[in-house]
Amino acid sequence: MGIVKRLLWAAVACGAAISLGAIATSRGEQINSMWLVIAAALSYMLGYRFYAKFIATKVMMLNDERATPAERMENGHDYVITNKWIVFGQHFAAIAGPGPLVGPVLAAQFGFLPGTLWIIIGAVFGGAVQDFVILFASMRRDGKSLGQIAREEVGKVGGIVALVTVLLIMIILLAVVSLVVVNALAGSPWGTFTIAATMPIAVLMGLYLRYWRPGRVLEISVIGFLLVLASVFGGQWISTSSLAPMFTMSAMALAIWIIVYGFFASALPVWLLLAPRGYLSTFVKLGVIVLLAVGILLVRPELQMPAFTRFIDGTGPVFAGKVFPFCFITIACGAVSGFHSLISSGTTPKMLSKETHATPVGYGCMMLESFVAIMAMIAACVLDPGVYFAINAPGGVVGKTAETAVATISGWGFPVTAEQMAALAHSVGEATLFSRTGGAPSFAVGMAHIFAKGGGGDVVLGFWYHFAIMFEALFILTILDSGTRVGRFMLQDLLGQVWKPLGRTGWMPGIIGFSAAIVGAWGYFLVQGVRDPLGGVNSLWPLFGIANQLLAGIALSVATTIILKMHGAKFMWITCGPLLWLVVVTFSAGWQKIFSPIPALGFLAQANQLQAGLDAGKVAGAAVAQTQAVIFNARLDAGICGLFMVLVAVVLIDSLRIWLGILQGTRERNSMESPFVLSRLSGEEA
Amino acid sequence: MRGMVRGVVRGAVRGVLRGVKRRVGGILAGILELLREIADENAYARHLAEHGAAHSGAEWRKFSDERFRQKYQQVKCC
Repeated sequence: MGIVKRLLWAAVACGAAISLGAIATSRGEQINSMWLVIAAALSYMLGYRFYAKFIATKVMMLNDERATPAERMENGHDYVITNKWIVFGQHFAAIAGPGPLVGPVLAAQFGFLPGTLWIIIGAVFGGAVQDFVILFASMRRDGKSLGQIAREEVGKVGGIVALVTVLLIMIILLAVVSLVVVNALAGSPWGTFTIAATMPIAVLMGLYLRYWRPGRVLEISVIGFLLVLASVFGGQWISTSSLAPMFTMSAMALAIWIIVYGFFASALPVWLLLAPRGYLSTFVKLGVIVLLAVGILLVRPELQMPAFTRFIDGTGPVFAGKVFPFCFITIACGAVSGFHSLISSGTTPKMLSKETHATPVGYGCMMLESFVAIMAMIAACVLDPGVYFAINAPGGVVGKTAETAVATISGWGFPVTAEQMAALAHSVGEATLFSRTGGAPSFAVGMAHIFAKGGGGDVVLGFWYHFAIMFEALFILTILDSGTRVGRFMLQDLLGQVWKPLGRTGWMPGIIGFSAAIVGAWGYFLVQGVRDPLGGVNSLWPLFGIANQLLAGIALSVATTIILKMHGAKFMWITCGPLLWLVVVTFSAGWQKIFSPIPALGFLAQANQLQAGLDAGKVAGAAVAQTQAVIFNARLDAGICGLFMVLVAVVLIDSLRIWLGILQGTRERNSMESPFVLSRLSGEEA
Repeated sequence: MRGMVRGVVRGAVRGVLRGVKRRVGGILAGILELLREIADENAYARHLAEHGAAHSGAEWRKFSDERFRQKYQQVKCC
């Protein structure tokens, strides 16, 4: 490296240190959001330039002379040599869902600092490393899945446990993201109309593509996008017309609609609804992320949220639990997400034309997702803290009326008035914004504020708020029906090993039965979340976060096994470090969620408290059955959390056994890499 | 002298503008290519080339059925 480059990188390092120092030491005064943007961007540059390069050259020894699966096994379908930026775009579209938007918004209850530091440090040393190493491992093994790699490198138990864990996580994920949609749309005719309108629009797109103008995907996507924009405008008119009551639904009614929708959407032909909406949602997602980045850079808003709030002590209203470990499981996507390992060992490794492309795709995409999480954190923290808590705190914590809510929140030291909330709700076209839990409404308010400041002022707040809600709901619904389909395939894959006909994915009774089973499973947790007096997000999001991070634990232990087989103990720390951190975080969070004596935090304590109330005769009438259901659900959540921990402990112990064998020399380092084949593309630009 | 300076400046500005135009054009072309890839239009073009087939409704349906079957067997992240 020349002297000029050295000086430049030294300047980048100084810039990162200064900006991280500025956000870490700010107390009591407002800081500009640009500090977060600069700190994140410079840290990612350093991570990518030095840490990723070190891993690529010294640990993985990426070699462009070696043919990738896309070259060796090209079949024009899934194994396809593809330009690296196109693989980058596709990989990013697959990894970035609602997680990096919702998690940081919820974690903002601790203040902007803990979440921001975790997003930056977690991504550079944990999440990006996991995605990168698993992508590399899969690329060197013909594009095999994480489960297959785990089975070959760790053992049969690891493979089966990975499959079961993924299925369980999927069910919790689908429940929690549908709860986000339910909470965002409950009592909102504007939002409900907009989302309802996306369904006939998607069907129209499907028919257009199938029969009227086959293959014109970009053309119909533009038409679909214009129709969706029209529905966002039209929603405002609907909300003040005589049709408003038809689209004003309770949370339970919406939950039932979403469950029914989920069943039909996953059983209908893909071309009719799922695929056209998938295209639309991908384009809208990428467009909004770019728009938000431009908006933040243009407006450069001040953060209203302090660096730390009093709720780092675990008494937070959004979700219970101290900043350690709960900040680190609340923000999964954006820092470390186990789910990414499934994508890094899915289609992506089958498309890379050169081994070195794994660096921008595996490591670089995670940097970009982490940046999306930073933007979500900014969107949440530009709100007045009082407004943030009024939107995100459930009625069961702050009280059901506006007066009790503002009194409680102002009493915490975050002043807010009923008039302020009424004016805000009016300006975004909602009846109320109190207790709109789940993260989506507060993200939408923050994003609408940023866009409105960029041009248009308060007049356009309502449009941007509902545009943001539409954007989030659109891709959550896409995840819902595609997730239900994938869940059905996984269940059939598992049960097909017991009885072959159950594994046939084209068998109609199987499609209906297994779709119903998967929808029933996530639908059960969704209804549980709607009924939860503390707001379902309080119980379901941590459960999802724990599960997701435990999956990251499985991926990182597989990655450690592979590195150990390649180099011995020399580079183990690269994946072992984040693995150790995640084990400590997830197991302590899981333990607290099950056994904490605080009812707002521990599932069993909540069940015991409610049971004691029942036994003492404090609950009467119709509330008895409801309380019994909440008690059962709290115990079920405890059981599921415990099951996740046991499953992952099994994989960890199995891995540990192999690591010890290798380190003691009693086990061979038999890596399952595919043999070297000379690439014909090594000299070419791609 | 002034005319010469003006000419040099104009030439330099034109050169920079040409470079910017080329670069912006390249970026826009790259974005369009990415959108076509995400929209599966490039994959369809590859399918037609590979099978020596011409575009038709039936061919698109054949391609998209297989494409969607594969695509929606993959998980999407949260």
